Amino acid sequence: MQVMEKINNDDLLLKSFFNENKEKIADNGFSKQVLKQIPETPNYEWVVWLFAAIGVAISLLLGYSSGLFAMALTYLRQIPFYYLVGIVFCFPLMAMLAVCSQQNCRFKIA
Amino acid sequence: MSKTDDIRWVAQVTLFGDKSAFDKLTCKYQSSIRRFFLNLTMGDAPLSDDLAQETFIKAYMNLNSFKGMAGFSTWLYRIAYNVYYDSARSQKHYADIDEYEIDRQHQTQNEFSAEKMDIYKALKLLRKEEQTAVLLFYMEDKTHVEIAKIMDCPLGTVKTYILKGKEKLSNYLTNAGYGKDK
Repeated sequence: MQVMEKINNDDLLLKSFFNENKEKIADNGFSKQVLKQIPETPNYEWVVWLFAAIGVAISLLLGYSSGLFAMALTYLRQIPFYYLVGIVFCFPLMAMLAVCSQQNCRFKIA
Repeated sequence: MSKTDDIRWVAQVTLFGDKSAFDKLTCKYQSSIRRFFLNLTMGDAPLSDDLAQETFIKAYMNLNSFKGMAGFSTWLYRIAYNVYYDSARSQKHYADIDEYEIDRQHQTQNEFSAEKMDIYKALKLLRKEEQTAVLLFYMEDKTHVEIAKIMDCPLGTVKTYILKGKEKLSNYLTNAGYGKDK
């Protein structure tokens, strides 16, 4: 019992001692110094573009050789003209909606 | 600022290389990490700042290996602990230098108060592992389990370090008359 009491007392004593000596150290430019020291990470964005270009080239080649583009063109010719005009006029509207929603998201984040 | 903020900032750094997110993490943890080093180095402010800087740079470089199982703070202290022990090992050859002279120089450089000298005097009574465990437990409010993760040792060993450290420190403080007026 006495041993437990001593342990608890010691605990309280040390907690109070360390709390008294616990101080918050001001930044004083430390984090900026760390940021300066951080090495630049290499930018691998070009890999994405390279693979995208290869992918587009392969799909164009396959589409051309398999006659898919010719089929698509035949199919498009069968669509009435005013439908195509409607689709073309829809593009600006869709783009405007996309931009508006993006701006809205940006404002929400800020 | 919660643990979810930490995870969000870590994700921003790892996915987008967002340095400003890492700056936020540095700002949040700089005080506790620098205080931890300051106490381990017995008040050597320039050395503790160097070690803290090394810790944050290593954290940035190895952020991909942070799995989020333990808190970011525990992970950061683990790096800090390794940085400190690597530095202590590499500076072993300086051990022969007159410690009294170093202490005296630090005393004048950092203008320590009597209380601060007390804490460093008290910590000097402990072994390095005991110092680390006691500081993490009483000063940085870490749990036994977190300390075991930081020091990479069994839970029982951590408890022994803290118990032994507590005994030595309470004897020292009682003999020095601390807490008598409370």
